[in-house]
Amino acid sequence: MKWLKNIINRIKLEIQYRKKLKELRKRDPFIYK
Amino acid sequence: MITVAGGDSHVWGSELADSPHGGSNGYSRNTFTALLAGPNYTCVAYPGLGNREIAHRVIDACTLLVKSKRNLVVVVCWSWPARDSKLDSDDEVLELQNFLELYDIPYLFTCVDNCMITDNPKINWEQWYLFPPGTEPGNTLQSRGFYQWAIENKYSVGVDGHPLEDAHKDAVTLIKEKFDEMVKKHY
Repeated sequence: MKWLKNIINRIKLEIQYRKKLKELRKRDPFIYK
Repeated sequence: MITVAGGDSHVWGSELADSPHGGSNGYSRNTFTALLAGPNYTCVAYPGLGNREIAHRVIDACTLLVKSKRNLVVVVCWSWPARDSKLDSDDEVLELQNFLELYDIPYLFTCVDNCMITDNPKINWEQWYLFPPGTEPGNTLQSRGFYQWAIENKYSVGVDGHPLEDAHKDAVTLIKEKFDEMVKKHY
């Protein structure tokens, strides 16, 4: 079960990171795509 | 002495009247970095750059100029870290800081947005200029980046939202003392 908890924690961290990044991107009005 | 400027569209001078094209040497001479520098100025900024590319372009330009034994000064206005899909740009700042200190090149850093500012003790914050905090409701209450300062002070902007000549001109009056002090200390 430890491996499953590790995967869940990694996914949670990835979601947190993406959320923060999305917030930061909103501060940049000049993002060139 | 030659001043090398790095950054994104704000240092390139997008939407300023004397920056009519995006090609080689199409950068403006009316940005705050150019006005600080005077006639001996080279700009390695470009619209849309992220901080990784900004650091590398400045390092490449300095490497060439150091070889030709020119006296250098570097001014960098860092962009938004999210352009490199990162939450901060400490690695990029430290890479350039370490390079400049290794070659004894004086430098001044600033940024477009204070989201660049971290509590990383390895970064030499003494070499940074930040624009004064806002005083109006809704303004940023901490020291600000150039873009935040210009927008919150309601300077005119172009159709794409870049602060125009007035903001750059007034920014120079704020930064000049620190820039001159840095140059005087070194040369």
